[in-house]
Amino acid sequence: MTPLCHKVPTLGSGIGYRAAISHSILKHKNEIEVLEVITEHYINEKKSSGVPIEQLCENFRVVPHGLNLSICSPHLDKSYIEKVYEFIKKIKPHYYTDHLALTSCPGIDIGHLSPIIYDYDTLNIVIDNVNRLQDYFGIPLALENITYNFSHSDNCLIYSEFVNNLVDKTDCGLLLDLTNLYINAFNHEFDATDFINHLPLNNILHIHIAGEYELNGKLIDGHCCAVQKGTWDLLSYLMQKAKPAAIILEHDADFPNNFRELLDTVVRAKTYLN
Amino acid sequence: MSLAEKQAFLCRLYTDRVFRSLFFSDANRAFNFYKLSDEEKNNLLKIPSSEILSFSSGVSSKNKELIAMNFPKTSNYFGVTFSFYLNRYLDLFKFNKYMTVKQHVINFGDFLLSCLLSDKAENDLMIELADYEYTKLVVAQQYIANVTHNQNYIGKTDQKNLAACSLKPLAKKKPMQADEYVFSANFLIKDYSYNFNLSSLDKIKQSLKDKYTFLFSSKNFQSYLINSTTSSLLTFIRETRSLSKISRALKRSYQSPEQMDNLLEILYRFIDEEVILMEKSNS
Repeated sequence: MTPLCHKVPTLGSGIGYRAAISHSILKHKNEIEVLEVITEHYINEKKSSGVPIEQLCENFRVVPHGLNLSICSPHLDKSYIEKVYEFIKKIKPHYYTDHLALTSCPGIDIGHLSPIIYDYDTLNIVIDNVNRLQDYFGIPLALENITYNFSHSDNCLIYSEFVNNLVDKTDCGLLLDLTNLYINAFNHEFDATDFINHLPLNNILHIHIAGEYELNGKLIDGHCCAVQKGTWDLLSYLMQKAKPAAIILEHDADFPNNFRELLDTVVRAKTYLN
Repeated sequence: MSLAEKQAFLCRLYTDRVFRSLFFSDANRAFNFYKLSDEEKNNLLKIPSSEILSFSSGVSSKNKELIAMNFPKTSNYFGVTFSFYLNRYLDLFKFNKYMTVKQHVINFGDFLLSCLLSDKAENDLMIELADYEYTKLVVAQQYIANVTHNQNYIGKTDQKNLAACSLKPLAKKKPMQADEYVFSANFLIKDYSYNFNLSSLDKIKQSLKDKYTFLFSSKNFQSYLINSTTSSLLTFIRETRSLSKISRALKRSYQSPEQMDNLLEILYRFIDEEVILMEKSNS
């Protein structure tokens, strides 16, 4: 039985767990409602560093975020899926998140998120994969929009057509990375609010916000600086139309000396949920 | 024809430098490795080569950066040689989802040291620095695994010794700035009890120029900056492994009993702090 997106409760605002700020995260647990953890940090053979996942689950609502599902692949990596399943069983999240991206094929891991081909072949594969995974995991899957430098010339669908079809057939969730959207809109010159208007808004479960920077006239999703106005504006616009379960601040590098700066962003994000 | 083949082609194009060169120089030969329709081939040819290069270089520089930031000194002072071996490593060992970045970092450290040691022409100082940073990473990794629950560790020792600093590159995923390091080092031989702080980049450069060596104690996570004489002494000790033998050798080299006592005291201290592994009772 496919789990339903609309049954996911509101979780709140939070931050992506990173080992470098683990101490501060635990110290300020009362101000962080949700913690997003990277799946790959916990499913590898060797013992992971940092705070044990059990301890994080005791203190926060935890949402797992995977990097390597490669949901558009005709043959999903069974061993990886098994490990994700075990992880889900262990932490019992309300939903599981990963990316709408190509990250691997048999024998090769790109180590990066690459754009998928938006055509009907890929759509059918993704629908099939999402249905199978949601049944197996027993929770909804939410797929994230990524940034891209180029589009495939064999695309015959636009993103919103692709995800609307996907949601129709799977009732899966969406992870809308507003900063990625802002970056793509800037770099490829389209209207981000129009993009939002065409999404299946009821299925947006999870929001990412982060800081971007400009390099050679293009925006880069650096996750290393404060959330900029463009993203806040999009969040404000989106929250008039959608009710996501969680808003997560992603910050991966160049952490501010004062953790309060990140906390203030989390607190500000929370005001939109309220 | 087949979505799987098209994706396999793309994945290889993004990650395999040699295959990419073949695609750019003779696309038909690259296509021969995959079962693609003419339409699929045409679509692949329509991807601007600049975008393929930009994406693949993003993938590769991300991986390089992740590794290099864990070897801040070696990559900073010996950038060209470091990049040479890092490129070779990444050509041979691809990132995959079953290996964490830390595992890759440790593997690369082992690979780099092996390469440097087999390449006699390489700079001894680079070998020492690479060895130092590699050892530090391995120790830090073991330490993290053992004391995961001790959340106060970084907070308590931060900036007080190199052990805390050594954990930061792993944890923060960014290189430490040289001036962030504060070495509480014992300047040995001349006056082993003289403590001084080395906090500026210039001083570090100067010390490297003078061929000082860094040592790292796995017991107390203190770092030691030692000069070339002490370095030679420790090299000698590593091979000897017997304190009585060392005493006899020192007696031959140092006529002054006071000087020899000083050296033995240094040795005891290193044994106590497990910089070197040896039983004191041997003497």
